Amino acid sequence: LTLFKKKKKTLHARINFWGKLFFVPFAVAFLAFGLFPILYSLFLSFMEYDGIRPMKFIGLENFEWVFIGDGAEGFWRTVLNVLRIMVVYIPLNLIGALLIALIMFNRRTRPKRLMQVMCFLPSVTCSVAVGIIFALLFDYDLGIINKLLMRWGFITENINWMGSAFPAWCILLLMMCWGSWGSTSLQFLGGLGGISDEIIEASIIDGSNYFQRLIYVILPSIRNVFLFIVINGFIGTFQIMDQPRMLFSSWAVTNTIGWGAADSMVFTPAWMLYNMAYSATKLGRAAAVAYAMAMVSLVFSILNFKVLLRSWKEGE
Amino acid sequence: MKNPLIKLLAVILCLSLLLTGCGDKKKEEQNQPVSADLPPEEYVGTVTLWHWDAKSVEVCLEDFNKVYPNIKVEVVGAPGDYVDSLRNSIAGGLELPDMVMMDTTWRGELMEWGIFEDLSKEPYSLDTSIFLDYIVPTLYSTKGELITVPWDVGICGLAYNKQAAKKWLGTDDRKELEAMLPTWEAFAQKAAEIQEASDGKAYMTASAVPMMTIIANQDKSPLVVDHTLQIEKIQDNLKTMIMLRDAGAFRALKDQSPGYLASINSTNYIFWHCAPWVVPFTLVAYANKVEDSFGMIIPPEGPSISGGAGVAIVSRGKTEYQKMLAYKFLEWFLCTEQGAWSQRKNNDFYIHVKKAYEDPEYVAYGNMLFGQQDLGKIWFNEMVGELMLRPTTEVDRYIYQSDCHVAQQMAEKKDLTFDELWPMWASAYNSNEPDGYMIPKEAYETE
Repeated sequence: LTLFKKKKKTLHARINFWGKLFFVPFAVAFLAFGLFPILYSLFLSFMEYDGIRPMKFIGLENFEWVFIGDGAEGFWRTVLNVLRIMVVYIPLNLIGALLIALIMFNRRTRPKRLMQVMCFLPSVTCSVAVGIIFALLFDYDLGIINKLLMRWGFITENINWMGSAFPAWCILLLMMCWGSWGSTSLQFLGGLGGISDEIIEASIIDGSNYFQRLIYVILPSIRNVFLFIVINGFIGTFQIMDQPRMLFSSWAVTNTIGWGAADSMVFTPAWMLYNMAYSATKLGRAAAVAYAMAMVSLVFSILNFKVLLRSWKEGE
Repeated sequence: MKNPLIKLLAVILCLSLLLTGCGDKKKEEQNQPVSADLPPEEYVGTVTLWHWDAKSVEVCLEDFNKVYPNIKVEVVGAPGDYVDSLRNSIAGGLELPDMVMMDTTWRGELMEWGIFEDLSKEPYSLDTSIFLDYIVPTLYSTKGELITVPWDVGICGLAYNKQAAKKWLGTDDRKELEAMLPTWEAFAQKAAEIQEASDGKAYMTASAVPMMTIIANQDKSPLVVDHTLQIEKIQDNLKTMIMLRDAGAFRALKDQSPGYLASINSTNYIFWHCAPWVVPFTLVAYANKVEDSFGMIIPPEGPSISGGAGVAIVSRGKTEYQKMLAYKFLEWFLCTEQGAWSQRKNNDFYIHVKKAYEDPEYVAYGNMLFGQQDLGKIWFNEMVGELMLRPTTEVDRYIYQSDCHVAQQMAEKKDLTFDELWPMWASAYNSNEPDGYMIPKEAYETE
């Protein structure tokens, strides 16, 4: 018995050892590239620092600047911009991705592999490249969209897509949806795959048609996936910068930083953070903008979560 | 010390202490003042240069090493965001290069960082009278330190498409065009005429930003006086741009965009800015290879500049010897006729060594696109004497960025008035939070 006990302990210790060992790479990466930057930027947000001269402690001045000072108008405008994008983008993303997932999930869909590749390709394309492609498509002078519209007689003069606020906003939405439908549909596919066959079969036996099944069986079964996508979409949209920046900054080589297209309609908090860090070189303020973003994002996420959860529960 | 492991550790510790001592001793020796007058072969070592076009330097190193055989120059290709790399290296305590290229936009700000060597002091005592006069005010920081050694020349004329000029302005003769366009008002008037004649299809130029750059750089008076931004000058430039926009002088194509580059071959656009670097990198690269299809004039109201880089020696964390090696490279490369010829021969680059321009062969610059026209003569015999640049300021970048932003906006939205554009300019400028140079809100906000 003693021998058996000893053996069991050794095995446990060995498992423990290997478990810890496998955890080390993640822990090191997380500490170095996750936790440390989070804490360091919190530290920086209380400092005046340009990366060159010594840091100076200034207390809450940077936060005051973001929330109520000279930076407040710009910051809240970017928050409003991003909320405007979110209100349209999240539903569009959900609907588009769900449709794609349902088509993929259908056994009769052919050729499935090709469709999967086509749908997922935009998700693995670098967002900078996507930005350049869209900028070329909608280019004022050379863009294929203007050329086609002109050839088909819809327009007589080129449309300045990027230079007008509303068209610019629509292009950004289109680009974001195109880029995210593939990956979001994968999440839906995961949810759809988890629905038990028995439930579907039971509903068929009960005489339901496809749309009844979709509304009363399939969608309620994947409500957690919905919740996950909405919350994630909210946080992700709050952080967008690369797509609008690539789309609306001046072309490479120039030194312009950009302020988010006509009327600054797609100027986002993350873009403001970037400008503050790399154009204005005020790293303390940039860190304060980052924390302000996190705070606003957190408040909206909690609200979102509560509202959605309540509505799901009421639905049950 | 029975344990062999402890013995081994003790030996390693002693060796490392010994080696550290050696390193310190060597560093101490290298930190002694170095004479600038040693025979070239006595300068021995390696220096690094951050440059965005490493190849253009590397092709000239053979010539340099004929004179300084023991100085090895490592050219590191610095990306467009070299300033971020530099700042990150400083913040992270990493080793900095010995020399850094600086573009005109960032130069004013970089010179205030306090990490570069003042070349007016001993042992360098760099004499700026060897350079073309117009560039000298831009080489100093606001504290009066001589930081920058000028690299390529950015003196800028206006290239024109001969076919388009003939079609819309009735002539492709340089002198006639210059006589026709002596001022920006005359330029605007002609622009309005060709807009009307072409039913709105023909423009003097394709993009607003290069036009804004030319106009902004024509004025030599300082933009900052007694720590105050001279907003009247900026407003005057804006008004000139609005006049040109209203006359239909430029279209809304973004600078360097595919549309802009394609416009070079269209007869609906006449002019492009034309600095020496523009000829190989823009015109020759994108124009149809048709002989004698382009010409160049002096812009209305005189010459201007576009681009033109400089270089500085990093002092932070560098020994006196290392800095001297870097200086010796720059001295030969950018301050001597041999250096000037090496770059002319290998890259078709012009640098600022005044003496080199005494040789007509050095000045002469032709290209098949421009037929028999000698561009070098126009740039360096006719334009350079009239040109003078304003002193560099630490807010140059913010001014330039705001200029570009507003120029593009006014081109895209033709109904924007001065009262709308000026606040746009000022808020774009202020969004960078320039310490001590903020434009007060009452100067641009209206009730």
